Amino acid sequence: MRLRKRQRMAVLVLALIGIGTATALTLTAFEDNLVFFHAPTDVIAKAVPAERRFRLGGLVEEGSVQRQADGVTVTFRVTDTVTSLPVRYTGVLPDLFREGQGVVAEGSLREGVFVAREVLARHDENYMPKEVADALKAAGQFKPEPPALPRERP
Amino acid sequence: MHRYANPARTLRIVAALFPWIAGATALLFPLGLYLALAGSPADYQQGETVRIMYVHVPAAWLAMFIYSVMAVSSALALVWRHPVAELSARAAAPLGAGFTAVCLATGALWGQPMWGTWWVWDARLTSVLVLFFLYLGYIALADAFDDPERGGRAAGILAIVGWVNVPIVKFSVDWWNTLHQPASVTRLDAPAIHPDMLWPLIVMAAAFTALFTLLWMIRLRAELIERRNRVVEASLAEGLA
Amino acid sequence: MTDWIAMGGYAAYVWGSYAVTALTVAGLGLLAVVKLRRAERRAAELDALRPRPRRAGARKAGEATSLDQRPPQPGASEQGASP
Repeated sequence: MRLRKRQRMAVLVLALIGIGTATALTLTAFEDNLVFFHAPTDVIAKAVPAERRFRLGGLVEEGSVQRQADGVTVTFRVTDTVTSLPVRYTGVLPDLFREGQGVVAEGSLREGVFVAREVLARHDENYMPKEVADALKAAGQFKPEPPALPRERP
Repeated sequence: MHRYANPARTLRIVAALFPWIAGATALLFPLGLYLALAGSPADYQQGETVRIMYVHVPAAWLAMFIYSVMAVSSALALVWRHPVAELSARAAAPLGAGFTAVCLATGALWGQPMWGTWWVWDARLTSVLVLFFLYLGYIALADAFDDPERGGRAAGILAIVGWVNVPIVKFSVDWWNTLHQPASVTRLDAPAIHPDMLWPLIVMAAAFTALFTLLWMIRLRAELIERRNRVVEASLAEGLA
Repeated sequence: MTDWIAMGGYAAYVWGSYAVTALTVAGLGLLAVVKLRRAERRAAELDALRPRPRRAGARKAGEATSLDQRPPQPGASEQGASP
């Protein structure tokens, strides 16, 4: 009985190691499909073919948001702090869309401009009351914590 | 370990703890709800939608915690043939499924105004959906056999194997880029959440945990009585035959 | 008060989240209590059917059977609905 219990435990431990390894290998193999978006640097480096749809993610570059004359089209640049890409989007922006904040746009490249079909805002992990944020800004202490956004693997 | 293996002893412990857990739940929920809905500030970015976080995050923590409880219980049941362990996993499963559903639903209700979408197939959201299906699979499998012991064993194996998904849920936001934000509380340096918002979250998490424990105890008691009923039914049938 | 209910324009999302949570939790509580009640009722039925106790004087007929050799705790079955 004692031995059988030990055998069951051995089976359990081996099974856990096996499952863990198999899962890790599978996830590593499918890494490219598991990332939700690609950073601008990555997009430029890989020379994505035009018309191929993908998601571009990064931060909305400060001072880059411009409403076009038609009132519904917006242009801005998405940056990963190394490189940035221009984006054009026609439609409603989510409430969290802001300069300096994370953004994920889905669309394709056309003549160097990323034409977005959908724009999603990305929230960072910081939570604080407005008064605290204002006080920090006033004191010049506000670090918009460059939202460790484009976490692209090398 | 086998000190707790005795069903009668388990029931005595459950009965002794029950009023305390019930009292904690009754105290923590009003306080937590007050802090979450009125006694805490709006967020500088998300505005009032930050209040959704106070139910979303505790539900998410419980979703992972309950599955881990089930995996450990199932391991105790399979390796040590612990007589109460399998029932404790069974008792926890519907609760885990419920809290995972709350996590998914409240996440969608936050995502729509803030992200601009109810749902995306990023690594975090997808792995939580997988967790939800693992709970449903466990519940279905545990009741799929005429012999509850076989069902319990099959479901126990699923609980243990499926546990690999729990670290994937937790670390998906670190391993891959996702639309979902990274962890704010459980990170190596200081929490990225202001104390005025951290406290409501902690109280709500404690309230959710107390509530889970309470319901878990009720279900465990029911499972133990049901198993006893089956034994009695079998002996009665034998007596009649 | 009106401001509070409006939740800065996000009332549907914020209150919706709390409503979904409350309903789910209430459902879980109800299921748990119903399950316990049913199990206890069945135990009482079986107890009544059972040939007289193996241990003399252990239980009176009709008394709910529980495993903890103590009278069933009313608190354990009556509470549990969500706050």
